[in-house]
This record gives sequence, C-alpha cells and structure tokens, in this order.
Amino acid sequence: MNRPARGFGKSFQQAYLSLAVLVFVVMIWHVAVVLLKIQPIILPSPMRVASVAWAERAALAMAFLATAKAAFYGLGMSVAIGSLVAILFSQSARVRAAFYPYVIFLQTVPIIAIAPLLITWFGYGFWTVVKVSMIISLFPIISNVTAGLISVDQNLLDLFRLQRASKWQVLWKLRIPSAVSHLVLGMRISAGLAVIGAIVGEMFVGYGSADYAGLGAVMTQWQRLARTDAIMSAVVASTLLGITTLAIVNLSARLLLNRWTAGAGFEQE
Amino acid sequence: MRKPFMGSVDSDENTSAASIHVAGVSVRFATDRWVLQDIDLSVIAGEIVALLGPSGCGKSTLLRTIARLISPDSGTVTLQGGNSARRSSDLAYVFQDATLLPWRSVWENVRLPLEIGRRLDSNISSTRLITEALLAVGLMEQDWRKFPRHLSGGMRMRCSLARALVTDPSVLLLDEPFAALDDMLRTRMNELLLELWQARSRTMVFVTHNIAEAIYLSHRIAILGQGKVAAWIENQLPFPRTRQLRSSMEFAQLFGQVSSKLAEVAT
Repeated sequence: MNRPARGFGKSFQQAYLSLAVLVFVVMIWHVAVVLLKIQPIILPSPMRVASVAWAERAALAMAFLATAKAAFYGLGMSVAIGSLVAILFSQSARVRAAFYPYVIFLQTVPIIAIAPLLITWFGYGFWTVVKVSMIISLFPIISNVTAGLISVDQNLLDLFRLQRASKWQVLWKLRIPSAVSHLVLGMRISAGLAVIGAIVGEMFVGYGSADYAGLGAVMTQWQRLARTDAIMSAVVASTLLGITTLAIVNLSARLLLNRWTAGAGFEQE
Repeated sequence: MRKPFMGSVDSDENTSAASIHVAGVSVRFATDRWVLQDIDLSVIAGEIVALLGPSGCGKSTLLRTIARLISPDSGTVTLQGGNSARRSSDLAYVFQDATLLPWRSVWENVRLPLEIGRRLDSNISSTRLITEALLAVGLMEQDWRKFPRHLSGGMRMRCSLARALVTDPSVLLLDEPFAALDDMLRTRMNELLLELWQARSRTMVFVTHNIAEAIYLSHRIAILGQGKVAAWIENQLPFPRTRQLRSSMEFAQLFGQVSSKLAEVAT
C-alpha cells in the first residue's frame, strides 16, 4: 500500500519543522541567559539543565516511572468508570438530564481545591494520586463516549428495530462498537490530563512521604532547595511523559481497535 | 427446518410469500401536517408493487409504516401468510444506502440478522444460509472477508441485499435502494432483484422515483401524491423480463402512461 508510506513521510517532514522551532527556541534561551547574565537560580542555561538532568538521571527516571504508573492507573480508571457512566447515560435521556450537569460540574471544580480533601479521606499514598489523576481525566471520556453511544446512525438503529433487537443487543452490537472511535478521541485528551493530574496529586501527596517520589514530589522538593535547574529537568521529563502517554494511547488504539476506528475519520490528520 | 435460500419456488407453508393489507392508514408529522391520508393498499402474496411519486409525497413514510418503523395515527397494517406475521425476520428492509456496520466484514454483516434473531444455534446451517445469500447476490468468496470501506457502491448494495435475504423473509421492502448508484449499475441491480424474485417469488414493495425502474420491476405501480394513492397502473409486461424489454414498444407506451399520470399528480 502506498498511502501510509506517503503519510508517514509527510508527518516526518512536519516533525522536522517543529524540531527546528525547538532548536531555535533553545538557542534563543541560551543566548539570552549568556548575554543578559541571568542568575542560574532564576533561569539556568539549557546546557546547565541538561547536565543536571544527567547528574540526577536516577532520581528522574524513578520519578518518571512512578508518575507514569500513577497516570496509567488514573487513565485506566477513567476509561473504565467513564465508559460505564456513559453506558448508563446512553440508556435513558432522563438519567442524562438528571446527572449530566453534575458531570460538567466535576469538570469545573478546580482539582487543587479538592486535592487536600482527598488526602484527608484517603491519606498520603499512591492511590490518592491515582484518584486525583482519575478525576481530572474522567470528563473527556464520559462526554465523548456518551456522544458516541447516542449519535448512532438512524438507519442502523432502524435496522436493529426491524429485527426486533433487544436493548441489550442494540447496545452491544451497535452502540458500543460505534462509540469506540469516540472513546479513542476522549482518551487522547485524557492521556495528557491524567499526567497533569498525577503530577498535581504528587505535589500534594508525595510531599508527605519520603519513600514515594513522583515527578510532582521531586519538583516540590527541589523547589524548596531552590534548584531551578533540577526543576526544569523535571519539567522536561513531565513533558516527555505526556507525549509518551499519548503515543501509547495512539499506538494501542491502532493495534487493538483498528477494526472499529478505521474509516472513522480521525486517523488522517 | 428452514429452506435453503435458493430453494425451488413452491407454496410450502414454511416458506411462502405474504400479502400486505394497509387499511385507512393516516400518518401526521406535525399536529396538522398529514403525510399520509387514509391510505388503502393491498399487495398480493408474491406480487411486486412499485410506489412512485414526487419527492415529499409520503412514499417512504408509507413503506416505513408497512415495516412498522412508524406507527400510524389511524388505520392498520396487516401481514397475512408467510412464515408468521409476528416473526421479526419475516420482513426485510433495504435502505437507500447500504447501511452496513463498518466494523464488520461482508460475512459478519450478513450474519447480523441471524445473530439478532438468535438463530445461530447450529453453526453449520447458519454458515450455509449466509453462503447462499452471498452467492445469490453475486458476492464471491474473495470478498466475504472485506470490510465495507473496501467495497464499491454496487458491492455494498449487494451485501445489503444479502443481509435482507439471509433470514428468508416473506416480504421485502426496498426504499429507493439503488438511487445512489449510476445507471449501468442500477440496471444490473434491477436485473439481480428480478432474478431473486424469480427464484423465490417473495412479496416486494419498493419506493422509487425512477419510472423505468418502476416499470421494469413491478406487477403494479401505485402513484402517490399528497399523501394519497392517486392512481394504480397495471403493468402487463411479461416475465421473465429481459434487457431488450426496455427498448420495446410496450415499455415505451407504459412509460408514457406513467409519466403523464405522474405529471398530473405533481401539479
């Protein structure tokens, strides 16, 4: 097949362009720090960040993995809970009318405000971080999957009605398969949010325990030691984690869900 | 016991056509917008009836009412004979577009009605039913594993027909089934439909706005206008119908008759 190869070449070219922008920004950053003689505690040079990152590679790698684990559990829980909620919503317009406003409410609550509450209820620990991550990444799953389950082609619904399909059959054989592509769309948004949620959670939770150090916890510690260069290396690690999570979502969608997502319209971007 | 799809034409109780009786059916969409007004219509078992009319005349609504996708505001629709008027699969509907499930292969799409009707009890017989339906519409084995997005429009429509036929329905309802296809393909699909009818002689009602198609396929043509059956036209053209028939004198005469009636209704 010719087309995927060409698509890949094109995206490769675009990757070059964005890479060029990155290099340019880093150069400006370096030149600015040197010329303006900026204190390293305010803004360290990119070289300095890189060397600190290398020196702290063990701590960073451990923090990366700890946060990755929390974000994956958080995302996994949002997918499971969000899909179940969406299925409930899809079964009745009344249930939707009653509960959907609160789902939007969930979206608007600042997570920083409830993180201390979660610590009060669930204590300092890994699972509290997972819960913060889950709460932050839940909404896109619920809204996308609900939309997917509801917006089924009318003719297809009629086809099932003609066969006198049960509600369960319509759900299992029509609604859920046609919502898979919406789930993937939701997961793409939630992947980044789950990472943010995990880091925010760690900033509150990891603070209290010495044995648990995710990226958020590590950043808080370094901030107290005024290690700006180390914080920036953790920021880079966080960004990499966000990208990695998104890549894993995309890759697993392509490998596992291709049957349902192919031709759904969002594969070519 | 089920008869194989390509079985001989017979009047066996298990596999016979059904007649359709529409009595005094009215349907309205808004409070005072009547789409169908007091329609009476009977289709004899084994007959092919074309519903023809200008767009917005309610012909699709009538077909959907017969299919019980719409419940009429007054009047009744009854199916008599056939396997059993109650059995879900006794009536099959073919939509304007193929309406296939994109995540299912050709084979799996055709299997869908059997799955929904929970009639997969014996794998061997369902495999046979699906195979027969696919072969009957001219889909060859190399296409059975393909997904709808890899099929041409004509092949998708064939797949849709196979899905309608796999349960061996006694009534086949078609809602402008080939409107999206080009003329060549449309002609070929019309021939296919006639072949299928000749093998089975099931009752068929189809909606079209193509006069030639209505004449080529039907025993009778109902011309609908403003929610009523404005005229019935008997179609005496002999069966089996061939491609040559389309260029015959009788065909042209009937064409003229139908189109002038249609023009009358439209004004």
